[in-house]
Amino acid sequence: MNPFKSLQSTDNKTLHLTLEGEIQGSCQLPELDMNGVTELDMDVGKVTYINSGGIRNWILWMVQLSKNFPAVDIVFRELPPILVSQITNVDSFIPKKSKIKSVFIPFFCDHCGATATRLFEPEKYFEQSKSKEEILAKMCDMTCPQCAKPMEMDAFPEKYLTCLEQHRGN
Amino acid sequence: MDDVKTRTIRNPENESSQNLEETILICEKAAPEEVLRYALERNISQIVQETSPHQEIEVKSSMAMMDAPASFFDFPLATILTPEKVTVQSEKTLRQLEIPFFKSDEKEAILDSIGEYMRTLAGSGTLESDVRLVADELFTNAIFNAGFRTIPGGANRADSIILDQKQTCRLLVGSKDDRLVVVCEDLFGTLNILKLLNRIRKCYEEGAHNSITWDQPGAGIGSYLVFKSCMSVYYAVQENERTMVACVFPLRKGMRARSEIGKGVHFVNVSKKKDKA
Repeated sequence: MNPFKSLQSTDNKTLHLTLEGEIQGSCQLPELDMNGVTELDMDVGKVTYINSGGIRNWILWMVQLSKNFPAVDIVFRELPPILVSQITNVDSFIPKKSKIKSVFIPFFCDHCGATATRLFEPEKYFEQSKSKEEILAKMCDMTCPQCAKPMEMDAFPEKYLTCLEQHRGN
Repeated sequence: MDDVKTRTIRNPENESSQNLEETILICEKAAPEEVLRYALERNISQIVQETSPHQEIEVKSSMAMMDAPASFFDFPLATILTPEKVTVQSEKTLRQLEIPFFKSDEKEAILDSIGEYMRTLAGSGTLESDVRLVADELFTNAIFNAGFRTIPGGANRADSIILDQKQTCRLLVGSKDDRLVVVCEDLFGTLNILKLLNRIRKCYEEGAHNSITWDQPGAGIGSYLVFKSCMSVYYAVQENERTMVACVFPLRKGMRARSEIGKGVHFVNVSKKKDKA
């Protein structure tokens, strides 16, 4: 088990929040010191698990954050697959106005059974690419580190792309 | 729903029966919410999909459940994985993990041992997290809900629950070829299967967010997450005696390939059948 942990620090008007471990119904999501803060930068790359109780806990926390600090921009970075799948499945899992800076994309090799993840920063590709097809192709492009064959994205590429487009920000 | 091609087959032991409990519905390709509608509106308790690579074996499992519903409790893994050979020996051979539990604080150690077992199998990373989630939600239902049906949403999740040792629950894990089964048994027999399926259907139709209970101990979406995460699900209840839920996962497939396999649903209420007889 990876116990839930959080760490916060302020840099100018940005509150940097790192969450890691397992988000369950019983875990206490942090109270944030938002005094003078205009941006909440959340690094969630080390969140390893969330269950139904954790989903409820998280949504309540998010709703409270948006309600109490409506002017604060929320930015997510290094979203792991376990959280992206909740964003695509559960409405209002993250605020509509929040921005996603980067996601971890899971891959699976159906030739040798290897697994891998790759950090994907959508903005770079949104700027460079012209079509959805090109972005999807880039998102899904991964060579197996074990057998060198093409890996399969272990998620729904279209859902990932829709989610990234919806949370692209300005 | 009517666009989905379906056919029904009767239990060959009782071909002339019009009893829906003797019927297996084979869908050509039905979405999960359609499967739930068939179960709830047509009152069909055995639904198999043609898109399942294990269609034939799943039909045999359905027949085994219909022929001897009570034996499902003794041989869940064999009924699902080797329905043509449901014996004490086959059940024993298929059973790779058997974990008894009666305390809420046993959960983390149990999930860790299931995770450890999963890493010995060839599976994708998202499969491992799906199996962990399913085991977690089944454990939670057994400890916090099954014995507390009179309390809406069950016992408080922050409470430390210790069941009477006579009510010790079990998690079983077994696999064969490219299928993995996770089974959870409690000794309360209080699950209302139709109510549960209705709640899952509501999650599909109205969205999980609109189905979350904000004022009760349970989130109310655990069973939906279980249903959504697995390929086929089996519910068996012996009223006031025991409940068994079994979830089947395909191994060696990524999430997209797993989701393309149509969902199978199987359920039986042993006491009800006995009452009708």
